[in-house]
Amino acid sequence: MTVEEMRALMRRRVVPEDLVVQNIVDYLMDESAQLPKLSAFAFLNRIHDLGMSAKDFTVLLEGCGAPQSVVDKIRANPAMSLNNLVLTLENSELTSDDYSDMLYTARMVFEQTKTTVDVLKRKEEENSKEPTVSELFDDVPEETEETASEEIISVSVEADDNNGEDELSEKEAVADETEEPSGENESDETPDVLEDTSTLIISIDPKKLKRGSVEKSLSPESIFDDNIDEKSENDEEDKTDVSDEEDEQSEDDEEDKTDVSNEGINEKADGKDSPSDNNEETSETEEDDGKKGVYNKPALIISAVGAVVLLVLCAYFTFFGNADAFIKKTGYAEDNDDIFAEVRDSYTAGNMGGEKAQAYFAGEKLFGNILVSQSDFSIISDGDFVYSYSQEKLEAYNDKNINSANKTEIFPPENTAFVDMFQHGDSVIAVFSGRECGFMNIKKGNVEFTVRQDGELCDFLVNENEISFGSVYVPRYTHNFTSSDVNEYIPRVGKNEKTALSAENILLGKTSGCSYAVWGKYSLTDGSTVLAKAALGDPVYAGTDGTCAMNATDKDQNALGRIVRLSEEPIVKETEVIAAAAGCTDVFAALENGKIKFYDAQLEEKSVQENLIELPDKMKFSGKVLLLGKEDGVFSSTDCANIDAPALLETTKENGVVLGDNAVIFKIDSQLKAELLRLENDEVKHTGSFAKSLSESELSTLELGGAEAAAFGDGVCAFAFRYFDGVSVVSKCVMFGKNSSERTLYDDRTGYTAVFNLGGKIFAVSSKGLETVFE
Amino acid sequence: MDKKEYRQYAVQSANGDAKAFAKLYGLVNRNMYYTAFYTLKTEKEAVSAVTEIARETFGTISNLHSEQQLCTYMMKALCAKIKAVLKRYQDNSLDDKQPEIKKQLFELPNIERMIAVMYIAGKYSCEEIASFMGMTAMGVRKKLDRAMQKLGIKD
Repeated sequence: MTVEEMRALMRRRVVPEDLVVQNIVDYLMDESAQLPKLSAFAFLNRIHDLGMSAKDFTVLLEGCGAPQSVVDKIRANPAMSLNNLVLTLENSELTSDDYSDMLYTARMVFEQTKTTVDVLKRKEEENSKEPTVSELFDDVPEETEETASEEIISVSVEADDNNGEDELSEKEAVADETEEPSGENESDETPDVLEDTSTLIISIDPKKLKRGSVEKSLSPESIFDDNIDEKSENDEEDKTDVSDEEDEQSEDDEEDKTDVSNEGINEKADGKDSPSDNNEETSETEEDDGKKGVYNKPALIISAVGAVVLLVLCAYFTFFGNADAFIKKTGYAEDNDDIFAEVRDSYTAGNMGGEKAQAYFAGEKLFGNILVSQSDFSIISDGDFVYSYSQEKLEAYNDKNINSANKTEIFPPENTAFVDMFQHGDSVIAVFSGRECGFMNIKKGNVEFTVRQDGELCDFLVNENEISFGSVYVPRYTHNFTSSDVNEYIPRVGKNEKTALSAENILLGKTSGCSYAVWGKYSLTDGSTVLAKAALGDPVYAGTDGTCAMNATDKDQNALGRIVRLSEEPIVKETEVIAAAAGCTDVFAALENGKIKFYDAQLEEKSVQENLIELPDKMKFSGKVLLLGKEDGVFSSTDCANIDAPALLETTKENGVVLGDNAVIFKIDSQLKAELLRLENDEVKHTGSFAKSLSESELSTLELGGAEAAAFGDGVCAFAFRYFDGVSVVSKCVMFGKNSSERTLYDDRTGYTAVFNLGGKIFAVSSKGLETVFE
Repeated sequence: MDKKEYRQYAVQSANGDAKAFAKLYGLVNRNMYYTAFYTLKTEKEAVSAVTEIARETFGTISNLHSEQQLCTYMMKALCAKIKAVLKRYQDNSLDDKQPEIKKQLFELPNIERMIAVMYIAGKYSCEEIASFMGMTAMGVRKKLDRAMQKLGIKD
């Protein structure tokens, strides 16, 4: 035996269900997890992964004992939709155990046929070389005929060469095939047989397959079913050529057969280049199953099914691969079934979409023509409480308890993180994103309500009393993916509790992928949903005005992009493949094939920006300015106020803190400098400055307090910093601008950790408590 | 899987996305299973070893920066796990239900069997196997030659 042959034998072993990629997820979190019961959909999904054709699928169903009415129904409706297919199976008597059995069968034959074809291909390659005379004669294994005589099989095999014989018993076929190469024209025949693998026709009698005749992964012995053998042989007397003695032997003397079979296996394994690879394969099936020598007809027949599976692989799916059958015209869905059909089509094809969705990024803040890098978040207040927040949580203090442990902690919904916080009236709005996105309305340290929208945030926009979210929602895998599972495959939005969007708000059509660009607009004061719409497909970006970018393929599988506007009458613009996108009111920009194209509200292309210095990973609008960024930050900005001629902005990058229309910029060279800036009518005005000379050693120890330790008042800014002067750690909180003030602590444990404006007064917090910096 | 794709799944996995990790796991699961199945006595032991390593790797995926690193790490961990299980065996007897080919392999000493299985079923080179098992490539080659001779397999 060669390494290749042994490898083929070993790799035919079916990987247990517990270890397949689809199921390992369950075991990663929970050691004691149990495999979920297979639903009809999960079963079809797995069968689809194996590339089984519709024809073989019906054979498999029939052979494994599915009710004949079900098989007939499927056979009579070759164009049956997936939805109906699932429903048909669900309404049959088939149980999850039956699905498991059938799946195991399909996987087993898939592995076997795959390795067999590998071997055949290799042999074909070998045989394509000029063989020597001795090699040709060595190739004829004398034992093959003997082995064949032991086999009890009901699969009819027909090669292209054997036109005159419609159905041969396996025994005959083996005999024929083994005899042919040993004849005079052996050197011609052997390669022919191998070449014919692509056109080999194996007809299967489904009556030979029985429900329950298939083993499960961990119980290989259950595959044997002598009764089936007997019955099927009786039924098919005219088609098979099995002697009574052999039947008897197969029923009565398992051990003997085991030995015989083993001999056969070994002989075949030893006899290289045997043309009867089907025999070899079937023998090895037994070996893999751990039962020596008992030829198992269902398994053999199933192997034949596998061969068919492989041979028709290229023809691909009738049921599953024909996406066109389920594609609807572009337009809003009429009912959930419309959505379901399209979702299932993509889902079954393993095309979830949404993988390249562009997540929201805070990045630098554009302040006039200054890009301000801000490392953390500012503290804000609603008049009574002050709030500091990180991605993980928000802490609310009232002014009397600012430095106490008696604080209120507010956490974002599970699997999300806070991305921004701002004041709105007497409330604080905390925006979150992750598995879902939305905002929390917080008053006096308590969450009044939470608005939630499915999907990861791409962008959000506040417009007076409303907030809009664009998100990309990728439905999660479910083992019970049925038409009633609207909560799984339709995005949900809502105040406190989410509800699925109604079908008429979901745009379908000619997309690939079953993810959604979701657009929701909500009231900031009461959390009511003003509108919510979604578009199904493979979204890259969902804008805050209902414009989204998606990728798709046309019917010839060519990749293309699509920009969709979710207006009452949806607008769809076909484009090149889109790598990133961003939108603001009236302008939409998409990175297509290395160029940025600008579209107006009607999705008319208005201008193109070419020759980009580098290609961005992410794009974002700040007002009408488009920011292009990569992992290390924004590298370019374009003013799109005039969409016909977008202009590159010359920006400078600075470190500082931006809060509303105020900003403070820090510069450190030979001294610490701070500049107070105010944005008035889109112009940056310089309203104050601060400078402190520090020695080189002091500068080397200088630490700025960050956004949490910077606050703005009426024409003033206060910020904290500390350094080591060679004797003590000096902590300072300075205020500058219209007025100036300064507080200093020496060797304070924490220094000034927070500076904030509460009710017009500026406070600073240190380990010693609360200090008023400015009243 | 290209580098970018790997990085994407690795980052998602490091953030707790089990589904993304499953895609990475799919790169090596078959080889792991074959190695475990043909080296250990029962399928249950093999499944348990592979799932344990998968869980362990899920927790450390952030340190594995390439597909090769991932595969090496998982196979290395699996080899260590298999060795630990093998130490507990009193003998190398198999039950009758095991495939004939496994019975042949079980006539080899444990280490030779592991090496042969990884070489044959896993298609790993001697250098790769050496890195999994903490041996030299030369040492692996010698044991492999012996194993092949005993099994009567031509390379």
